[in-house]
Amino acid sequence: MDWNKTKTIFIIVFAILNVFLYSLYVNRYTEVKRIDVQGETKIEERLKMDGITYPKLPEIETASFASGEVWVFDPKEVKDAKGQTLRLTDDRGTIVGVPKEPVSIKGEDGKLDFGGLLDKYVKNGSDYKLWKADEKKREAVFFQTIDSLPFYFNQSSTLTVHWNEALEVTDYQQRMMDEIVLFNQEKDLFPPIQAINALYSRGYLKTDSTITKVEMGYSPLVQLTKTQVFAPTWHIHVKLNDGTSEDFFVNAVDGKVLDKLPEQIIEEDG
Amino acid sequence: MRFSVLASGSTGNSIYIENDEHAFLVDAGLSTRKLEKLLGEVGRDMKALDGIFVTHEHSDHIRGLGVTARKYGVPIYANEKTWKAMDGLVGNVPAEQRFVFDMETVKTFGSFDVQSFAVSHDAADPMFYIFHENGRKLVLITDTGYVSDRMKGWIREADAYVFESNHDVSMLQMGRYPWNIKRRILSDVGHVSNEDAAVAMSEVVSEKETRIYLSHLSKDNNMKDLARLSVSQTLETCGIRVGEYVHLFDTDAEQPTELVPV
Ligand SMILES: [Zn+2]
Ligand SMILES: [Zn+2]
Repeated sequence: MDWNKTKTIFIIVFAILNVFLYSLYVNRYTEVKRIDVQGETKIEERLKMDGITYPKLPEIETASFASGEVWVFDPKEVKDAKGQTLRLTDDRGTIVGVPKEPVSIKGEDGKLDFGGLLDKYVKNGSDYKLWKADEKKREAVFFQTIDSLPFYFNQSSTLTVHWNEALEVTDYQQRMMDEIVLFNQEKDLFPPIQAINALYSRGYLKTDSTITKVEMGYSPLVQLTKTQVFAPTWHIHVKLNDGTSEDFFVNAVDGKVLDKLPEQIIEEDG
Repeated sequence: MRFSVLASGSTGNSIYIENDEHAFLVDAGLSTRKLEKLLGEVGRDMKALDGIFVTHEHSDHIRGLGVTARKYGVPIYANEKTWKAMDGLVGNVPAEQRFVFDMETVKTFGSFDVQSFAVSHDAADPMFYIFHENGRKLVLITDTGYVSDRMKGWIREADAYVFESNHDVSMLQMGRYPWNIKRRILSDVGHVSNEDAAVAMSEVVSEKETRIYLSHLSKDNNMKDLARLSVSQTLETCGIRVGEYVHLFDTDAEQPTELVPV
């Protein structure tokens, strides 16, 4: 056998093999890179492609956790009530008020206006912010706020108002928190666009829906013996194509999508 | 005696204890440069150290140990199993600086009595220390999954505690740690929660002035304000009025507590 010839053949075969392997490698490499690039498509663009729009996002970068204690109403306050009759529940945690004179909630252009009730009848009424008014059920739900940020679906700080056909308040039920403090340590927040992304990537946002509101508030986190602790929370309100709307909540510190808040479930069951 | 918690938390732990004759560290879980800086902030110098007592071989307790030992020639104390476990983690510590501090024994340094006791933690042979001087008692206890009756016996009626208050249980359960880490933290050999720490505290404090430093707080599953609220409310439900004779203090991952007498 001609050893020289054999050697040449070997060299040529290996050279071809090398070229082949190299081309395989290059292909793989660019493929991987392409996938990477696709993965990096900005959330903004992906939302656009799915027809999901959102408003100008809040520019809050840090926030504190908050804590509060359940307010226990004073029976004396109930007895001395003017212009309304008040009743306390056994645990003194809920007050039920019935105005003696009609209090109208009829606002301009057919809108509801609860200003009169909140100002004159409800204790610390200006701290409550309207969450939802259901005109069919004739019921409105308000959440207590701190620095105008609401405590979402926190049972111990909601106000519920009912009215009659003439748009006059029939009664209201109030629970209140007291000793609300913000924790000293400010935490860096999960940016609102990332909160939207968290919803999007879990399939919560349907195509062609419109995010109409992104707001900051608080959601219940921990219940201590006396005190409740709240986490900064993004509230994202979404209008769907069919006219219905949905509300989502994302923990603004760790980006976790909150399952339905406990009271929200209760409300739906009830 | 006087002490300062130089740094506390999963990023690094070190506690400085001194009297007029001696100066010690318990653990050196930060880089030597950081330790120098922190000690400088309470007006003290690494050169004056007479020894470092090691609790266990986790990196948040020994990160700066090797370098500090070599740079300053400080004697290092740890039990046999911890020495073995630290092998390869701290580099070479010269033989004349290696000392064995057995579990549940007392070593005397002048007027200081230093006592070691076992905790329940996932390390080779974890132990913490109690410093006694002139009838005053300082207890250091972090990195334990729970506080057993045996531990409670050792740590009873101290004048000051550096007490673990690692996490809030519900925050941990809701948080985004993987399940295996959550399980480790909540296990008997992990870390002690705010409430469990408070219940243990309520069983060991006496009716004298007691300072409690809440320590080794989890960065993700706790907050200073939350730990303080939680511990003080649990203590109060156990009949201890916080602020009267029991006083709670924060510790920080990057800032030393004031150097105060015990
Ligand atoms: Zn450890
Ligand atoms: Zn540790």
